[in-house]
Amino acid sequence: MRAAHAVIVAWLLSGIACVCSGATPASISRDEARVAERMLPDAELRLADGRLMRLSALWRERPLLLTLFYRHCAGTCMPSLLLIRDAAAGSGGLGRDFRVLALSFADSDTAEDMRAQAASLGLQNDPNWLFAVGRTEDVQRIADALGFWFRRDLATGQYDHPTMLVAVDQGRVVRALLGYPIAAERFRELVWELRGSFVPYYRLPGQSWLRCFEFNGRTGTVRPDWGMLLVLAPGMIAILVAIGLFAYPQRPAAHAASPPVRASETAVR
Amino acid sequence: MRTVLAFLISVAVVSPVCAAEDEAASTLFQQKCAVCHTVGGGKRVGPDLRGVTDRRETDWLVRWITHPDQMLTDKDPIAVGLLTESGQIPMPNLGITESQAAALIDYLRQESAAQAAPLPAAATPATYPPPSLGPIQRFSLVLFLALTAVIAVVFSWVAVSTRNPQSLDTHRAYALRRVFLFVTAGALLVALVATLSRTPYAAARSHSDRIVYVAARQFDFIFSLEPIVAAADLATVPVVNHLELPTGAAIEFRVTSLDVNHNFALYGPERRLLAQTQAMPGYVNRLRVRLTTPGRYEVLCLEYCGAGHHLMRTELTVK
Amino acid sequence: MRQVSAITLAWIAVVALLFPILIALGIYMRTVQSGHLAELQSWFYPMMTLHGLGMVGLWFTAPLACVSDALQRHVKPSATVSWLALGGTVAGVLLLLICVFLGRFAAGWYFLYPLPLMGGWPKWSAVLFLVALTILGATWLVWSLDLLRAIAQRYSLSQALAWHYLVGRNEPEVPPLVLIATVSLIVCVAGLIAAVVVVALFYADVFGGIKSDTLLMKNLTFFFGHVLVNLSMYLGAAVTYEALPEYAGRPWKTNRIVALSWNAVLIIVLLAYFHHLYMDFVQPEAVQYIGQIASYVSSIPAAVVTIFGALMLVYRSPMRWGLAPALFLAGLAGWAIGGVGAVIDSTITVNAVLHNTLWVPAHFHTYFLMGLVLLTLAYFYHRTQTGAQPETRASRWMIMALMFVGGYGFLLMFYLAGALSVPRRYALYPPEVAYGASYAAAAAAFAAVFLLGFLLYLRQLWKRRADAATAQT
Repeated sequence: MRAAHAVIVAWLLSGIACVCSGATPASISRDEARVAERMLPDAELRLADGRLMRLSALWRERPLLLTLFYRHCAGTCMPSLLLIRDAAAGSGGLGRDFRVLALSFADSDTAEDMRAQAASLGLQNDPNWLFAVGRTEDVQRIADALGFWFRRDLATGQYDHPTMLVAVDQGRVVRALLGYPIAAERFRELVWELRGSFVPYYRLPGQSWLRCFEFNGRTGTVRPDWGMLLVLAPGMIAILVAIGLFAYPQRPAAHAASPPVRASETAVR
Repeated sequence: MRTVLAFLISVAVVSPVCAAEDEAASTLFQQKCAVCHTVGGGKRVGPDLRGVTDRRETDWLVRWITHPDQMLTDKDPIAVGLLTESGQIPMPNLGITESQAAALIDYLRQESAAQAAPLPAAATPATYPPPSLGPIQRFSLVLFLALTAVIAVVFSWVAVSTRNPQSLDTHRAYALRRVFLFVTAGALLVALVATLSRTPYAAARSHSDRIVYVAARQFDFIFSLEPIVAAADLATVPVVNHLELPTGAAIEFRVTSLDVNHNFALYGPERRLLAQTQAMPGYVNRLRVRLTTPGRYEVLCLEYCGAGHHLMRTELTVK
Repeated sequence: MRQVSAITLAWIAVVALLFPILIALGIYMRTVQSGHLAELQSWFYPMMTLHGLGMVGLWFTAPLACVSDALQRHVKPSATVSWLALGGTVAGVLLLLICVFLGRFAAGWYFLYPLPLMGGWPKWSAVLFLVALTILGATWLVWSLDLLRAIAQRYSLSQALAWHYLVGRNEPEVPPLVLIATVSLIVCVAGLIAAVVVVALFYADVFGGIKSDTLLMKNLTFFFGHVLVNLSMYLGAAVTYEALPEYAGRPWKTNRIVALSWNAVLIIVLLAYFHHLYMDFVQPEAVQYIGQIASYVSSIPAAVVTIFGALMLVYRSPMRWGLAPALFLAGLAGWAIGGVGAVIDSTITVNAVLHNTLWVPAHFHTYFLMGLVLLTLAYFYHRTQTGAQPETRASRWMIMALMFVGGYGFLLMFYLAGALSVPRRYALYPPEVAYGASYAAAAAAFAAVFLLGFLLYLRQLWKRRADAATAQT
């Protein structure tokens, strides 16, 4: 009997759970919040194809999703990269709104290692995925700015480190996600944040042709658009009309006095 | 032990079934019906649909769901009765097909059965006593009444003064006017400086603890944790049905509209208007609030949006 | 005094007919909100629309008719255009009646895009509404342009705007009426052009399926509405400048300060409209600040020049009291009080908790009902005095008392309910704000008292007309 009650209660609960699915709110942990708004230092990086690029050149072109890893990681690096790869493909915007930069923090890694890593993920020909290495002190500065730590375990040769994915817009950290695995909703939210730390409007299909202003989510600038002209036009046109109306007629001499007020008009009774 | 096992088995069995079957019908309900109807949550713009599958014949329901406008034109007696009950707000034709209607009816039957134990009615008394005045409102009202009294006194005094006519000393009058000008301009300047620094607009680089997306539509508010840009997103974006927020956190509401202009107005547990922003189609307004008092908060629509404007509301809880 | 012209009499008749009906609609609205008349509740929003459009339209055209009448002392507006204006207005009103009563059009007098096209009423009623607006807009634009043309026949633009006073020259003498009328009419043209753009974009959506940007439409709509309502107020002030001195026995002339103040108003009124969009956080922050600053500054010319000027005019003057000057003075007081409520609400941080509560109708009903309406009624009374017996003190006090008690009582209910966060434009109040119903019931009663006062005024006016006719024969 008690078991039957338990089943009914459980069934009711799972029914409610179904209705309320997806209601787990994403929150920002204190560590993630601490990283937000920080500026990343610039550095020279060597990409997988051997090119030398400045980090600032990369972030100037398009916002970056930056993650730190190393080639011979036996821990969460590879699963994490796989997760990011799938999430980025699923969320949309890869290439258009952001690119992914996977930066190695191990000083033993080379450009060749980066090529191998890309190949192992099937991303060797994807121009929106960048794998890079840097000079030890540069990478250390970047890691310090992000509050990212890594410790070599001399016994195993492996590094202890957290998992971190950071959204970088014009060198500024917009949002950070810590921990593995990253929930899909949090990733999607990150991408939305990257599209502009504030989205002031959505362009719906078949939508309006005249706006007051254009907002560039990437640069955060507001530029007046043709609609603004429509708002300013009525006042300007009215003034022009007034000028035109008053310029046209032939008037008697300018200093003609107004006719005297007739005395009878002031009397009431 | 057996209880735990039973629970685990139930969850394992019910959840996938729940997920698969419910997903299509519940999404459809969310998109088309939840605007005006609840199941066991009370009357909204339209009646509570709990038990409706027991109250009405299935084929009447199918006809009503697919062609409510036709049934009203044909003067179906039940339809006309419903129209009167709703205050002349007709159920619109939502383009629902017969198979969709059948799925919805099954969903309604299921939901009603799932709520076999009647849910306790929301503890809302029929009317509340008037709330106390909020600080800004109190200040505004007092200031207004005080200045009105001053105006009334001055005008009355000037009117009464005509009993003793005397020619006007223009110099003194202009001097007084200059004083009046400086006093008024000074007061306005002080007020400008004091108030312009405190606007509800989110500062560019400031930070909020939580972001909640709100989509307004005739006549409903939808909370979600991801942006809802168009009505089509309702099928894919997870919707939060009972929003709970932590006390004292800085919340950012990102408000948009799916059809006409609405307004997201937050009333606190003391039932005073705390903050508001417009909901405009094609735009997102960010409203930053810090909700420091735990309790039940109401959201009302404060921009006229059609026949159901005064019925458009939702709730959230702060704890 | 000049014989009152037929056209002015016709406008008085229009007000006498439409104003009680529109007040009755308002009483109906507050009665429904008080919880009564449940069977007629579904007409609330259509009647709200008609009440808003009707009142705004009526109290724009009536003061403009007064100004047109007053201007005839100085310039020659075209009689044809004046009659066309009346005809066009009546035609527009008829179309509005059809689309509201037959089509249940209920977009509110704001007609904020895209609600007129998405409100559940038939498409034809929305189209008819747009046609009505087109007719009214075209009529009023022609009327305004004709009045400007008439002024232009006699004054150059710099004279009409009294710029020579700014540099200390008093010749040619420009009466304040002409200055204020010029400013108001230029501003009116601007507002009507904005309305033309809005209506054109509406047509583009209805017939061409071209969707417009909602923020753009909102800016244009509120620019038009704000400008129209404010210039109506100025028109009332213009006839006050013209008529009140005759009772006070003192002149009220243009001087440097008056010229400066009204030229400033020309610019400020075009910028202040942003205060309607404070709660649209997507507006660039700069224009929100401009809105508050302009709104605050706009109170200075009104208070320091017009209101103080009127008080200076009346103070210890050999005032010939009667119903007309009493109404002029009362109307100015109402304008001042409404202005206080408006300036308070135009503070952004206050607006955040008062926007779209009943405080908003509170302030605009104040400077309309107890401001502009009283000024216009005063002018009507003033113009129908020829050869007539003055009213008895008893009837004058009765009319004033009923209008005061009824009017200010009605308004107080709005202010109190607004401070208590009761929303505006709600047909019924939900449980959380159910206390709003008792304020609505009291307001309906007070409004009925005001209506009684107005009907007594009409009776007095009719008696005057009859007396004047007998006196002439």
